[in-house]
Amino acid sequence: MLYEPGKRQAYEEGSKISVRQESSELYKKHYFPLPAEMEHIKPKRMLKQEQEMLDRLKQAGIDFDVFVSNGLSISSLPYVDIKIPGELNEQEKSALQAGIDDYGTRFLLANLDKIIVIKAKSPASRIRIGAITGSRLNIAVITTAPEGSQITVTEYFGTIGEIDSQLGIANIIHAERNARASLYQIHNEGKNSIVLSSASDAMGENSTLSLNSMYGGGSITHARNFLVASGPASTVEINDLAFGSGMQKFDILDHVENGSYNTKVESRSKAVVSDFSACILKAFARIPHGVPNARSYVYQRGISMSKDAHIDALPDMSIDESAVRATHSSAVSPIDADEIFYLMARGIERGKARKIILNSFFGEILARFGDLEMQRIASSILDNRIEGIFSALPNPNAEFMHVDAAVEGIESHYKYRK
Amino acid sequence: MMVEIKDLHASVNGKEIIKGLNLSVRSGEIHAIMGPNGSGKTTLANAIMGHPKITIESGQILIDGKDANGMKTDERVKLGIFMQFQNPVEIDGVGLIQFLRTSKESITGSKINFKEFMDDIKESMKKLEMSDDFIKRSLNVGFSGGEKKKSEILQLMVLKPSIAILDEPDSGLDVDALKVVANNIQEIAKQNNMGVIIITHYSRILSYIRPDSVHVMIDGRIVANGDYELVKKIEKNGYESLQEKSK
Repeated sequence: MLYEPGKRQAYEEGSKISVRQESSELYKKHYFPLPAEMEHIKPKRMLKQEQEMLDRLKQAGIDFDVFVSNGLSISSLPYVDIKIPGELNEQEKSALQAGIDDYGTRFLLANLDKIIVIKAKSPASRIRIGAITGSRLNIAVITTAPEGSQITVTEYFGTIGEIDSQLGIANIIHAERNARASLYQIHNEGKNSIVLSSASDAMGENSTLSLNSMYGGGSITHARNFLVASGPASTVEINDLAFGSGMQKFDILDHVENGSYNTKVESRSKAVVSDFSACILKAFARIPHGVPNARSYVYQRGISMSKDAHIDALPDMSIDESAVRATHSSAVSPIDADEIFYLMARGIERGKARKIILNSFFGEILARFGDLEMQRIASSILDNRIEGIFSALPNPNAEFMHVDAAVEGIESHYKYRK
Repeated sequence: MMVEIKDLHASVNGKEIIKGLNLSVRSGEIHAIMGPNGSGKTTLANAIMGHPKITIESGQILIDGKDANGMKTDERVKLGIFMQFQNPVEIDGVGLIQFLRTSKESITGSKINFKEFMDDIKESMKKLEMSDDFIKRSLNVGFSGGEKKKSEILQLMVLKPSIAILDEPDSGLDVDALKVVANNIQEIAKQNNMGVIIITHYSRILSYIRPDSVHVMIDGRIVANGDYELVKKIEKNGYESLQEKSK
């Protein structure tokens, strides 16, 4: 059956689709294929394992204002509604049509289980969302940051360890004039999951959107972020981290555009892969004609930890305006042997030296995570992964070492150390 | 504590760099190794530290009587060896202080009292005329050549090894900074009965730190031994006459 956008009825339980995998002409030779025929079948009630994981997260100090699993959806905030596709109004339906024309994104939008609609009214809000599945779960989060507001949305995604599962998240963000929207995604799915992620936006004048993602779970992660600084003097900032081991694959595309004058877009990605893991970092920055004084920045770095692991860093830019500033850079290398030797020459054993270097590698991006709780969770998960622990839960006792640009003083170096 | 090098032959990427070298350094002794560029001085330092790119073809390095062959770099350090790097690496995101704490705890094998540790660091930084900003900065990131040298000597002062190998501690330093660094090396060496191997091209630093022994290294061998008088000779005549001798 061929895919048709927006036709949920075409995807009843057990139905299958088959379409081309990479819609971007630029990157059509560089992608990891999702299963050619994806199904969306899910149980109708919360699984015992999902409940257990939720309990364990709470014990680890991770709590949610909004929680979604297959059979349960709870919002403890009056300005956050959880809807099913049939309950959406025209504006919300229209919002879901935006974004990148991509197989994975369209699949998840056409198979949405729950839609979280955030309409914060206060000048500053922070909403913590959690989603866990032991089978299949697709959700969308529609966030509106009203004029002049500051809104932070944190998202934690998990799947049950050994179970084959699929988790999809589509973020649709609307930041009105002078608003600031900060989104954080922590992907800590099990190793047998398919992870679909996408983000799209609409920006008002002088607004700021910051999308911060840590991809650590799943057998394959397919992320498509299509963000345009559409309002005059608006800013879009994307920070991506990925850590892969075993056979994990990450296919991450940041498509950023300067959609108006005096705008700034930045895409920063860092990945570490080990064993047989592979990662494609794709970042395309477009500056169309008619957006003077636009600034665009693409930065990609990768460390490959084994001869069988690999990272493709593929930055690209299309610039049709002359009065702009645009920079891109990318580099992939093995872990630096001189850095290891230097640390060992200070009495630090090899394993710990490696850990310090990887933590510092991620630390540069983590320091840009303005939400300290999400920074703590992300660093804790990465720490576990560096130790070789593939866990659906972060380790609250994890050691962590990095310079936090946001907090001054010596003690800032230890604040993530239990 | 003693480092003994016996008829050492070492190569890098199949090329022999150290060609039969003998040297003994005890705690409390100050040795200077001088020599022209490419004579193998840094390779010798790296060989003592167990750099993975250096292959020991024959001979021995004994650290306190223990054969260092097969010993990992961190194990050598735990026996009391320290190396000041000529070009220390920059590691973004690793705070200098946290790094030093990890290093100290790794070497001693025990948790340290953080307040005492910080007091020690602050005192050493003051002596080295380092700004307080260094406390907040990442390891060597954005440091000038002179700042890197001071950062290395700060590590020496905090870690207090039994024998320190200083690879060109004078390069990149202006006259005033050189005096500060040299005085601190001398002081820490005296206080801790530390053995010091200073690798340098120039005599200037040795006018502040008077060596007990001076060795001239050319083409992977020590071709002359002496005291401070040898430094004066080199200052006057250069290495040329000694190079002739080595052939």
